[in-house]
Amino acid sequence: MEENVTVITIAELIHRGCPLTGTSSLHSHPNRRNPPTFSSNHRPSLASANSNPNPKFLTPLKHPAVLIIKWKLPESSSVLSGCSSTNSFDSFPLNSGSPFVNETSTSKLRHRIHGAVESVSPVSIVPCLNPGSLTASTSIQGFLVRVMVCECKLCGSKENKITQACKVLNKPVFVYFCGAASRWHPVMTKLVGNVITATGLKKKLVFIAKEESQLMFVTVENSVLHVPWLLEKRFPVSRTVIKGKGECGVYTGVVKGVYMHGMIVELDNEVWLLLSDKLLSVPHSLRVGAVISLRNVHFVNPRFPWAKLLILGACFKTSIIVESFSPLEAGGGIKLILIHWLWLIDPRSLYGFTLTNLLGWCYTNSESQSLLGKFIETLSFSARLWTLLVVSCIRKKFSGILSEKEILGSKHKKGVAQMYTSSRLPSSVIRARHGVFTELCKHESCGCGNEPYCGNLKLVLPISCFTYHCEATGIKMLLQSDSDRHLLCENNQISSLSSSGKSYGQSKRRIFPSEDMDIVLLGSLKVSPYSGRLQLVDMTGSIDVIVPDLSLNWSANSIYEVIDYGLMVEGIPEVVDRLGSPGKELFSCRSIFNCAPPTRKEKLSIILHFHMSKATSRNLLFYPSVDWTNDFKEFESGTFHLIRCPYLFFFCYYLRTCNSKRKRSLDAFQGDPVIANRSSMFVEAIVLPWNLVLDEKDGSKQSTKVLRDQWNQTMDQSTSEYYQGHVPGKRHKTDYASSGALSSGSVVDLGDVDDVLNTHSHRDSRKEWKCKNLNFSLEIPCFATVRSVNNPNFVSSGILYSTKTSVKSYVDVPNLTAEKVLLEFNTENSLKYQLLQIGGYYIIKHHIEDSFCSIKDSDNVSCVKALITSKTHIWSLTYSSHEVLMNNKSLHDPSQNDSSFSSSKALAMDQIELLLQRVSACSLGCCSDVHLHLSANEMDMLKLNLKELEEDIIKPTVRPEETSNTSPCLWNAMTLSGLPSVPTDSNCLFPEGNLVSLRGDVVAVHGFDGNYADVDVSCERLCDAFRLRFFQELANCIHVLVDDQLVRVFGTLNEHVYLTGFGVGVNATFHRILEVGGSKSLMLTSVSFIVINLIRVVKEPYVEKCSELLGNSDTCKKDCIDTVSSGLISELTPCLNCETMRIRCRVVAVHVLVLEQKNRLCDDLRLKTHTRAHLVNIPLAGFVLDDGSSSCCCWADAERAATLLRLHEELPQSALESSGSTLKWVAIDNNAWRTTMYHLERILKKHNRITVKNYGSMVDSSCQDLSVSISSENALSSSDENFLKFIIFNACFGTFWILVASSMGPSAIRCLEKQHLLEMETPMHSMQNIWAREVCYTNPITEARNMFQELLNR
Amino acid sequence: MEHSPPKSLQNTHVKLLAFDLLSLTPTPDPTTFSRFGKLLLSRVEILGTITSRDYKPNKFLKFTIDDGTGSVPCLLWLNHLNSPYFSRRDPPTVRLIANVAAGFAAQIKIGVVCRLRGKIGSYRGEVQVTVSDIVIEKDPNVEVLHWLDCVRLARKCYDVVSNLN
Repeated sequence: MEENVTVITIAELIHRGCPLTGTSSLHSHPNRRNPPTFSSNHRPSLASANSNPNPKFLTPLKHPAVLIIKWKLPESSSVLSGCSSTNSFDSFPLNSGSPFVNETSTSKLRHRIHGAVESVSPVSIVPCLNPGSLTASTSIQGFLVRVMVCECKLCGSKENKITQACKVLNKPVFVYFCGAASRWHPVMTKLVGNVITATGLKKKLVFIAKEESQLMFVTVENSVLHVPWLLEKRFPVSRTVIKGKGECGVYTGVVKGVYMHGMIVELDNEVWLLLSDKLLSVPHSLRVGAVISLRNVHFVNPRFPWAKLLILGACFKTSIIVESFSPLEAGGGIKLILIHWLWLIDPRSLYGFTLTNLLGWCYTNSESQSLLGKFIETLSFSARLWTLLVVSCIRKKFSGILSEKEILGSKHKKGVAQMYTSSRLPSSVIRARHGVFTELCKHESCGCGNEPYCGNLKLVLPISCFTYHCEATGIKMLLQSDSDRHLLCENNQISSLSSSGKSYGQSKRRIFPSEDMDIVLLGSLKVSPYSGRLQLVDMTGSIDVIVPDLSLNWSANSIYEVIDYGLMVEGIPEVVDRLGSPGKELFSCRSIFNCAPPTRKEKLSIILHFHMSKATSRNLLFYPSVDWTNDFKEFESGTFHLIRCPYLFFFCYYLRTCNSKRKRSLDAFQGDPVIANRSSMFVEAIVLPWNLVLDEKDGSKQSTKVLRDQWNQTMDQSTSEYYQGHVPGKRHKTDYASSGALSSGSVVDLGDVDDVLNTHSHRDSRKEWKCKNLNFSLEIPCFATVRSVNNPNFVSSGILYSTKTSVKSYVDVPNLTAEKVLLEFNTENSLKYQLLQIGGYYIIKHHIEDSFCSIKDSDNVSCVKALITSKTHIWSLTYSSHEVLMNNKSLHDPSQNDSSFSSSKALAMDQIELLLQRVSACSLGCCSDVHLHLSANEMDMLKLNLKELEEDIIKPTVRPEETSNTSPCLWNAMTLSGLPSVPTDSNCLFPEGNLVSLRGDVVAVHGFDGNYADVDVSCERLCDAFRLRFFQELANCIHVLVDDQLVRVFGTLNEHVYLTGFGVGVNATFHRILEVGGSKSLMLTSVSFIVINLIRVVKEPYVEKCSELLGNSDTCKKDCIDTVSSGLISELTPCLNCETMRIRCRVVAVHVLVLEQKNRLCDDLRLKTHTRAHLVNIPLAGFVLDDGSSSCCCWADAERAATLLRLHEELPQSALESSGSTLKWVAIDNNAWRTTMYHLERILKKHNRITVKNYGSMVDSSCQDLSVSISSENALSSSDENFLKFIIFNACFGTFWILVASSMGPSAIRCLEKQHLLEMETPMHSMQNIWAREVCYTNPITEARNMFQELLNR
Repeated sequence: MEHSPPKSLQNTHVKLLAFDLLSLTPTPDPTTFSRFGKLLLSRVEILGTITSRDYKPNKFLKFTIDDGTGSVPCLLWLNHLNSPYFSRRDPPTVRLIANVAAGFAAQIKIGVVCRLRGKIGSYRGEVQVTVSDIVIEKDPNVEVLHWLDCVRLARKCYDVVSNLN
């Protein structure tokens, strides 16, 4: 091998344009016709061998390479050794390219130093005032070296021999390597800690700052560096204990990652090297895998609560030495080493390469040129890391929303990242920078060794990282609580888990206050197109949020900062346990700097709860969008209609065809996303005969504090006048007089307020109002406080005036009439619908072209429909008297107001509650968009009037004939009468009963399609009865505790998709639910509406109490799988209906299987509270089962069918081979892909509905003849088809199942045929038919014991 | 004594112990076997330890399964891809079945406890089971359970012929 090695010079190598390595190109290429041969003394023509005709660009290596060039200084000693009086050191001329040194001529004239190199500054350029004195250039490039020398006179003398070894090196001197000597920077960096001698130096007084000078040695033309052959390490060992407060020290570690253009280097485990100073020269080979040694680096423990890490802060003293090159990447690295080496040894070899070419491979701190870069350089190390983290986060979060320039800023303009970070950093973290000279010479006084405390800095996280972190924390908490519970269970010899592990336990919830998280969230509020829920989103992810006080006109494009929040994590410990703990609870900075966020397992439901505008809240609009301002302008003047949403509040789907067989079945269209997308939501609103006119005068904007003072004075006056007998007159002028009193008072004392109450202005406003009835009867002057998220509240004066009837006095006010209108919200405006609160007052801005206003202007607005579009502005409205305003001083004083969630600080973790209702959650007025301040008596009058108006309008029941113009389904459902017992054979299409409302605590929620161990059979039976009776899918039973009475509400939570956070422990109000089985059994209908009032963490004693209640309830008697009598299939009686039996059997064949994609919109809510919802719905599956005595056809749906199909089990290795599928194995760290279900979901995404029918044998698994059909127009690929067939075969190759099943009587079979089989043209087989109620795995030993006992007893 | 006609359980995979299975007698219908002249059977489920294995690639795997009461010879066909029997069926499905069978064959190793279902047949006058599917059982308790199952089914089902009528 060795004879093949070619020796070339470095210059030749670089000119070839491709750096060569020992493993590849250095060996002669056998295929090359004319292989170039090089030798040290023979310089061939390079043109022929040059693979790169353009030597300005070096082509990167296309393969990993091994570095073979080992450079060491002694190689040059062969030339230089003769210059020295002894052979124990090498001498190098510093400034001249010439290797010959005329030492004798210089050493006597110049100074010499001998000492240990302590630190080396980066290379900097100093503008030269007197160019002629030093160099011809106008600036000097150079670096400072701090050398510790001996103080003794002998050492200080010029005559001293350079070989003398001094013992005590404790006097710092500075040597300025300038001009050509600055090339020696890498060498000097390497020599940090070694004893050197430099001769031929000039002593000069150098100004290191404006008025500060330092005596130092400067290299001149003949300066020589002497390096001993045996390098003597004299690195001053630091005696100080490293406490992490900025002490200087040495650190050696392996590079794990280089981020942010090399400004951050991760070493070992959570050790972060900061190289954010622009001047710091980063070694080229600082790459992942390299071992680097840092000298004079500052150790900082930032004490961040959100991460445990060590910061290594590099200052101008710090030297970075690559001890070992990275074995991972070598291509570019080698190139740079070569270039650097060449630059050092022979700059001429780099001829033809521009500096840009050379630096193109280096890390460049491009940010440091901008304002942001400069800002970062002024920060202390902890603050610097925090800032870099935040900048990185903000870049990731808003990369598509804001431009890079908007985020990072430019040389002249601050970006969002800098604005945010500078607003959050205390002034103590900012230190003045003095330049390289001062900071090296006066290092101790620069402050970089004294780290200020930054432990209170909260981190901004990308939402994906945040949710991952929350999941990790949540899983740990849930598992902890669950292990405690298990200990308890074991002590009582009760096991809540069956041996099969298929039973699911109760979902558990934990709420974490933001104080415990120390994480700030930035994001926009958006409505998820999938779930319809409000979410806080950034480019990395989203999180469901509950914002009780969100303005109806919130801005979707603005960025909010959420600091005060509650985080709700909910999941089932058993499900979570299977995933295993994610390991690290604290997130790692690596995940932030890395592009790829960690993958969530999505087994937990994570919900963020915060108030937008609580007085104490720091949740602010951080980056307003333009449309927000426009929206705000919308409010500044004009007329507004006053409406109220009373108790009638409902939710409806539009159905396409009323006569369709399917229309009766909610089940049918839940699975149909097309219809679901066309859904509209309705709110029945009362249009009150009051309008609000706001003053449009600009001067009306005032702070609320000014207003309060003004109001105080004005109202005092007016009230006193009122009580002194200034009774308002008969017509509206009397009220005017009242207003006049206000304004007259204002004229003297209040300045602006007289403008505020200027009657002309609102008269002008009224002119715009083209309502037919212009006969104003009543006017109530008021102040309106309009809430603003980012600005001080906007205040305007206004008038509330009645629109309909002329009245003579206050007494006649109730003569006003209100009218009902049906507000329709389409999907786009679903959030507006969600934000409306039952019983709340709202104002809608008057626009003539608006559908609402055109209806409003008509004579008869009774029961007509108005579409609320995105252009319709609705604001929530509250009102109070000025007394309340005065008493509630805290209203606008952030420091005094308490809040619902911040009170949680004082509460223990398990007592935290999240209040969701706007009215109860917030102090008066601060949560509504608009708050009116009225005088006390006028408010009483208004209250009385509104109350009577509503009573008048709510009382009469809605008659069908009145509503014939709207969807018949909707209104039929509302005209319910009678209370039939359930089930009956009535032919009525709809369930009948009274609609009631109830409020209570949810103590249990369970589905009927899962294997829930605690599902009581009585619930299921009742539910089955409902299903059969109403053809409705009632997937859930909610147990609600109302006044210590347990009430069951059946229904499908799917429809109520906006129930973010619904689950055990919430206090909820169920509006318009149907009484079907007496007062204790109710049913959710399409007109029902659930409002969550508060969410609380369920405490163990509470759970026990509820379990007791559930257990004691005679209707909810526990009837688990073990209590059903076991038997053989042959023992089932064919004609008996609903005979339940427990059988142990195996699947022989699959008769028919229908697979559907679940509606993600609907599904999201329901199962998230229990487990991760898979998207496969099985409406029906027919299995042929065999237990040795006989075979039967078992019909199953949903989870039971999925279990029998073994969809939750790990997919056999052979499956994909069998199906010929070539799958991309994504999300390797997630176990989900291992299950059959995962792959089935993938197929169902393409084809919404898949039917598999067996035309072959029903008794022999291997002789099934399967046919797959799909509903979509997409072609079913053969691999997918084979995969589906494999699923069927795989289901038949399983072991035993324990099945609780009911035999199906003739009526049930007919129903099944009618519902499903006729449509699919699938015949029933002449075997016993059963319906699967429960499916679980067997425990052979238990089964064997039981059977043995049975056989013995016989 | 009046003899009732034998009852058919041909569509059921009866669970029989090996000694019982091996004592079945053939009937004129080659797919049907008689149990004491009272019960007609075609399919069986047996469970036991694999005691021998004779593998002919792409043809068949012959093996014996021993449940403690006897050894039952079994045959797993592996000739799906070249057998005229499967030529009428669509090729992907045949390939799928062939893959499945090959997977079964790979699992059948001497010493493993195997539960299998199949058709009862005879080869050279001896009962032989043509395998439909197999499951390798890892829990040793399943053997006891199987024995007890066989006893219970014999008592409650197979021996009580009059009830079957």
